[in-house]
Amino acid sequence: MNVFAVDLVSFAVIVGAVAVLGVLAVWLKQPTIVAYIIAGIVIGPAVLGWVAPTTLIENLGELGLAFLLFLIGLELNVREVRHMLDSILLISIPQMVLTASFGGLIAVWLGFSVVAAVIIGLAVMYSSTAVVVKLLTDTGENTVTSGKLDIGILLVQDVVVVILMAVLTVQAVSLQGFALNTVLILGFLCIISMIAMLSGRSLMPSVFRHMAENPHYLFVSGLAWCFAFIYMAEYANLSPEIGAFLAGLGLAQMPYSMELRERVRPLTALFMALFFVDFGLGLTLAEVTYYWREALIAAALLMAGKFAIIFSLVKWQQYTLRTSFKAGINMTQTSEFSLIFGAVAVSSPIVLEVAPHIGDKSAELMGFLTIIALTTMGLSSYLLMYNRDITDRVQPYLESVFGKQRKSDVEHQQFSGHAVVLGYDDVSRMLLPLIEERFDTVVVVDRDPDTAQELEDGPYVHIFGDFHHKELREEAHIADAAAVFSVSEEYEVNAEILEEAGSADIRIVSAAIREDRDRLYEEGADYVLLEHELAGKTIASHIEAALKPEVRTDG
Amino acid sequence: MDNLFLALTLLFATAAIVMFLVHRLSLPVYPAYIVAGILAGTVIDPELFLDLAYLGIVFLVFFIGLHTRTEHLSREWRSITVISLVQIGVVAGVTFLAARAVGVDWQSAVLVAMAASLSSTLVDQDIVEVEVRRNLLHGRLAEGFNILQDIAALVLISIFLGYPLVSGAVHEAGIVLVVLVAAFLFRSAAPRLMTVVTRQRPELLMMTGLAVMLAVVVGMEYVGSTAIVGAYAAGVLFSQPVKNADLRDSLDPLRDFFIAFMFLFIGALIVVPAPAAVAVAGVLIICSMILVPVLVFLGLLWTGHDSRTAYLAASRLDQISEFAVIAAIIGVITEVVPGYMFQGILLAFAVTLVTSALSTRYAEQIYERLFKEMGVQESGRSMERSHVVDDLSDHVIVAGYGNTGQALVEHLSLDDIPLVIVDYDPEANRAANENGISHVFGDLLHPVTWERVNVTEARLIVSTTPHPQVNSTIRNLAVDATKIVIDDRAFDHEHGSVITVSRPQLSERTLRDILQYHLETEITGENGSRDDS
Repeated sequence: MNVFAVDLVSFAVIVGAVAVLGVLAVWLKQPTIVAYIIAGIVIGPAVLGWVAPTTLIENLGELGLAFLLFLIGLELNVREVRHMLDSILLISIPQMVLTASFGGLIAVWLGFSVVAAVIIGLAVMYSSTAVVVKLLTDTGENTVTSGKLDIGILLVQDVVVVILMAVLTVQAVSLQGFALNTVLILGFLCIISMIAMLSGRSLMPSVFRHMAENPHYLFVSGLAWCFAFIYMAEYANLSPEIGAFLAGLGLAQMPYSMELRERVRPLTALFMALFFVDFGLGLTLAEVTYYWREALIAAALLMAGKFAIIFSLVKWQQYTLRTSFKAGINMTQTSEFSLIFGAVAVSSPIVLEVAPHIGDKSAELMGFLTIIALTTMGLSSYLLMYNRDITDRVQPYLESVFGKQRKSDVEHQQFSGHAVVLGYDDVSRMLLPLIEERFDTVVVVDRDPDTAQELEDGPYVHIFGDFHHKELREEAHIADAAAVFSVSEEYEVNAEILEEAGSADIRIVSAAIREDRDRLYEEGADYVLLEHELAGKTIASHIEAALKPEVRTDG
Repeated sequence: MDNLFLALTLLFATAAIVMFLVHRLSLPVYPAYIVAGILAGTVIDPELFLDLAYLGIVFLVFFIGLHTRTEHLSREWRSITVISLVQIGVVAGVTFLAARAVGVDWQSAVLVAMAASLSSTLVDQDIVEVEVRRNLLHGRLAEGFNILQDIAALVLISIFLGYPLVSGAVHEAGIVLVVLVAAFLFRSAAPRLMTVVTRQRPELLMMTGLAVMLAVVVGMEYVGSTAIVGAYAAGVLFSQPVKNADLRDSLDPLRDFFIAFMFLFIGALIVVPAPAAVAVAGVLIICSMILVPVLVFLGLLWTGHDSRTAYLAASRLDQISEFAVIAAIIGVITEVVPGYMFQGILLAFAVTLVTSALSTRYAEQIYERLFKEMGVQESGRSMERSHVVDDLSDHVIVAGYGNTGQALVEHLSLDDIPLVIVDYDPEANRAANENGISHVFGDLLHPVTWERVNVTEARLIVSTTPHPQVNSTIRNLAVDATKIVIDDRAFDHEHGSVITVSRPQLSERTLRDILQYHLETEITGENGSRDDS
């Protein structure tokens, strides 16, 4: 009995398809984005016709996009890539110009009109943040130079796409009006960024400090902040995504942003999946396959071109052959933004004003971009996963072409062999100096805002957030740690920690009751801290000591 | 879209402001959402977001199901079941008949009975979960009551929706029970299967969890039953705590997000309450704040628990259930329940949320006042559970036979000095009985208990609990005995006849040794053997 008269069936079908194809994708080592788009195409009018686009899905998809940009803003921590910011800018800007021109030329060669070619060029110049960052983190390559460079380049691309989309949504019917409005919009953009930055720096940290005590409160105030900026952006005729992006950026430098990220991530994952499904739902089979030959040719050329451009630019910036090669093969796919940007572009008032014919073939154009995205993302995920092996194989040939390496390898050491302390309480506080003596790097993960400052100032690497989140433990590189110490008394969490830290020499966890302690020993803990047991034992010795003299007098 | 973002901004900004204003009270999120809903409801037409509100309800119930944990309850099931049946039967029966007597229609009467007799699971959930993990008796009991009340709520909702046909109601209730039993049966297999299938990727874990939940919900709707039962059953299916941590983590934000729309919906339906609504709220508040806790308290005393445990467990049950609110929403939408009834339930829900947060926070103090200063006596039954050697003297009193206490007694060699244990947990006393140790069942904060262990003649009094009041009670006992107390915030020290022990310090010292040991064996290449001491 559905008293609300709400149709959950299509929602259920969509989520079901997403789950099934998502599982399939993971088994085939494919990025989930590919699975979601295909899910939309399969259950939508293109193939099975089970589900038609609904406002619920469309609304949630739109929200997903906003959350994605909020998340990107939150993760835009300039500090991490600051020392290579110069080379990142010098690589990424020419890279985008070159890739866009290359993509545009391919499009013209394949018979697209000039305006369509410009749109295609601008759409394919980005590589996929979602695919690259995820896979680099999985393989630990995000901490080596090539990975850091790629992530930096992706950040710049994200900023560029945000600005380009803002410009394209300008409501104008003439070129002069367009220019004027563009200036206005960029002005608004500056004002809102200023508000975000200033309040993010002065007012908000103290507010969030209070809210961070309760994770629900932190989450709600983070969302409030995000939506406030989205609304402001809409008010200024900007797209909601820009507001979300700036909101995220404003909060990014706060220590609580990490915890907020982990809470926003599930929402983003769900809603982005719905976004891609909704995207797939909007395509018919005829539209998807209209340009399929052209799309496959373009995909092949783009993969080669993207690699060549990044490889040369990175090499030009005096990085080693190995780093340049890896940086290149990581970035051979087009981005989810090629679809988002494409969709914005083909419905943009100014584009339709300049070239009305785009409107006639807009769905086919999107089909073209979709096939390119699916193919390049699918293939590049294997390149990303095996980038080390591929580089090893290719290196001799590279050296014979470019000459033997003279310069020493500048790749940074992997973040490994360190100690990870999960939770900062009385016990770990007293223990940290000892651990710090023995390990070069000590990573402390904790979510108490009261001690956040203390940890930031200390000699440790501090990650603010709840170590119950798997992502945060990955962030601490628990898999490569030499020692792991967890203060959590939750058996389930500790069991996961023991599994993840399989290669650590020392794994110390805590338990609240004996059964948990015994189980944790079975799972391989080196020591399980059971405060009760220790206390009982020590008090027993206290008792014996206290009774001793009397016992003696009795005897 | 404009509307959606406006609604979201209003909802979350208002909620955040309210939260900021009250963050010191550590209230649950609901009161802030109610205020946000009322405010946003004046600007936005909630009908536009009906689907999101509905998803909010589904997620809320799914979440309740997901937190259903039964593995700690094996020994207490019988008393919990008996007490629950009596308490729900009495309160629901009386309120139902009273409502009928004053001329309330059938379905509203069922609703009133539900609101009066059942309490919320989610409000105290964070606290109860910690208590259960620490193996505290009153936490385990409260959790048990919550589970049985949730199941009762589902049955009552199905009766409520099955009306007017009696056979329809029975049919509905039958489906509910079948689905729930199935969910409980498969709850160990489902999460395991899911972690294998998804290779433990958090994103996919969430997607498959949601897919299964929606499938069950849609399936229940298809067979003509209520989606709410489906959502709860799906939650139970994944409730096995091992390895569902990722699923719970990712659903937490989803629930927080979607229930905002449920409260938007509620907020728009709220008007200045009519006198009838205030009357309904008054009755419900009295029932849930006083009647239900008192019945549970008496039941626990009667089944042989001490007054403190009984009080703490019962005081966790002093608010209106989410299920009653959900049923009231359904009732008011389908127009089977008059507006004042909905208003009354919601008003009572809001009031008891705040009072219950306060009563949980000050539970110990309230208990003190009620039972010490008003002089309520321990029930005689607790005496029966004790086993004491007559005329104890020159003995050692161990306060608490929990984890620390048991470890202590195991490691202690006392020769001929008599030892007696005091604890309020029947399970601890059972353990003491099995181990053949003298024990007294009673509240450590109560002077009677101390008299019974002949405290004036004791040689040594040892606390094994960090409970500050127990420790200060022991510290302040006007007797000659040496006292060992626990204070985690202090440093180890001796002061007169009082020895203070700090547990973090103990852990630190031990861990220091262990770290040292492992670091050295690592260097010499020896294989570190396990050290249990």
